Amino acid sequence: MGERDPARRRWLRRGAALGAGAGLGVAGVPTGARDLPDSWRTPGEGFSNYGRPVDGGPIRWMAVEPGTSGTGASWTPLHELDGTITPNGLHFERHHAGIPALRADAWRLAVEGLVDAPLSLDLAALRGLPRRSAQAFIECAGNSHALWRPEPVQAPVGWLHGLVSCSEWTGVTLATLFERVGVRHTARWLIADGLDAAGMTVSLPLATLPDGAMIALFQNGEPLRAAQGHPARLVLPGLEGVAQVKWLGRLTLADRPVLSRFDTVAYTDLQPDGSSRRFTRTIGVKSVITDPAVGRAVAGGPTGMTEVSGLAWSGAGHIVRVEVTGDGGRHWSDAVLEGTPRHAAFTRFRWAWSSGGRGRPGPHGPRGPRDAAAGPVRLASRATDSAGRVQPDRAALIEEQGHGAYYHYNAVTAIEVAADGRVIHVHLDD
Amino acid sequence: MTDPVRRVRRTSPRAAHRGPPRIAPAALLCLTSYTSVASGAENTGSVPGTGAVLPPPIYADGQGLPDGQGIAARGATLYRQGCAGCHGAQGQGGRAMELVGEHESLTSDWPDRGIAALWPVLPPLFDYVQRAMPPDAPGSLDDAATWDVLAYLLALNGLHPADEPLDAETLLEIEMPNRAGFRDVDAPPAQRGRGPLP
Repeated sequence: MGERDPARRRWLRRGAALGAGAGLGVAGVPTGARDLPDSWRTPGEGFSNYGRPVDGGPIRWMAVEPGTSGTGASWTPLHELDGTITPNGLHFERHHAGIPALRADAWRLAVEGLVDAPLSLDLAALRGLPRRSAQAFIECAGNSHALWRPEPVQAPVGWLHGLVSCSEWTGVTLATLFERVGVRHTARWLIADGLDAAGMTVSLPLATLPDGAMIALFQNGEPLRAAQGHPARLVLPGLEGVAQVKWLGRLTLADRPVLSRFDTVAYTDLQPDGSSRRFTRTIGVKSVITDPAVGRAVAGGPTGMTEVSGLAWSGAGHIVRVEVTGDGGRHWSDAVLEGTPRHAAFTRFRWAWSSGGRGRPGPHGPRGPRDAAAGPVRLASRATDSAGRVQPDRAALIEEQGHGAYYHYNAVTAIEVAADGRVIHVHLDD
Repeated sequence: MTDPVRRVRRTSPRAAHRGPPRIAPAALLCLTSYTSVASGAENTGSVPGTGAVLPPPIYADGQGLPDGQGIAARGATLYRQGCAGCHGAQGQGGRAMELVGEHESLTSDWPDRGIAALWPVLPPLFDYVQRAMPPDAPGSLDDAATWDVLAYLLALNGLHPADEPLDAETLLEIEMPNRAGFRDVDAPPAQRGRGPLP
């Protein structure tokens, strides 16, 4: 193109000729003649080696334990995202002693214990093994823990339920690795050690390792970020986050567990009878409505809503059904599940509110705005997974486990949209 | 963790959007360098002694516990210096969790859960203290110091006499009061009741 383009030369000549007239800018370009968007008049920004999110876009909420710089958690802003994949920069983080500075070229993964051929793999060697990709959510067992308390907590969905995120992970499956080292038949446990300063060790019964368990090297296509365990982490689809050890340094095949702090002291749930549930590794079936959401008023109140949407997931299978209620739990009807629900991955559900029962009617149909009018409406979602597990009502969960548990909360969560559009969390059994 | 809702600390959008370091323009060819990094593929094999960098795991049954003898009086000094600031002068808790609490009765509304209630077995406590404590100087306790701290903690909890040295053998003789208080949910039935799983 450029000056060799005859059409462009003709245009330039015409511009020069017009330059004698009124309304010309300094460069001889007509101005003010038409009301055009500024972005049509100004060449845009250049390239960057690594893109950045939109200005003012969603960010995580963080809580750091006093006296530390990197111990605590950050929450995925579920209420500001859509779809099913969490952007890498918004994946939740829970670190017990900060993010270690590991040099990838000095890093080694030891695979030893009850194996025929112990291995020490550097990153290149690990990357040289056959890899697999799969979507999987990771949920911290402490997600939603504030809801064990009697009063509904008025915080945005992401700040309550955002210790869960979903990515496509790529890495070397444990099956591949175990074949290489030759796991002996006496092995019953996999002991995983992290290289952070938290004393991170977990004991995993071999028989309960999920299909697709892998040493992940990539997240959503890019090499693991430091905060997600670079150079390598365990990804165990469907298991609680703490088991999916980041900054993996050693895998030991053993005939006995460690019963580490992360096996027994933390991530166990005190029950009303004084016992504690332990090795609650598999994440229960769960769903949350992300739109409407606490902290973001609905314009026009309930009559202004068109769609209710949210996320559902289960560690024990894939989501087969999400029901939504628009009348505080009296009637439930099926939401539409987007795409093909996958094992241990997010499923996005959508439920037509404005259809007044015509969108995707269940047995009773959604009780839409034409019936509910402007009054406050109570919305909740309830998921069912392929293992037949149904997300429990809050009252049932509390009845079974009391208020002393801290982790593994997966009960139905409800919101109320007031006439003026404000959204609050409520407990349906109130 | 304590309640995060009370500890809101939000990053500014600016800080949150600060991306990774800018990559030099030449790295537009990063795919090439990436491949070369992976060129060591298949260069693996049995490398005995690879765990040398990491101390061996310390199992629930005590396998892996290092030699040594803990003296509670020495541990008390270490505790005052490095632990009391967060866990309280008598292990009653503070910024960090309580270490001394109820032994068995955990059925009250908010039971005090310290070492006696939370640890069904003690050997992994040695590993945890040595690797992770104190949080501002993890890994700073050698075997002898860790044994001393454990001797003091167990004396505080009434689990071991303060005037008797603590070693691997005596540690394993301590009957943890809540050893039977854990119910394993996801451990397969074949493994429940096996050996070290109480």
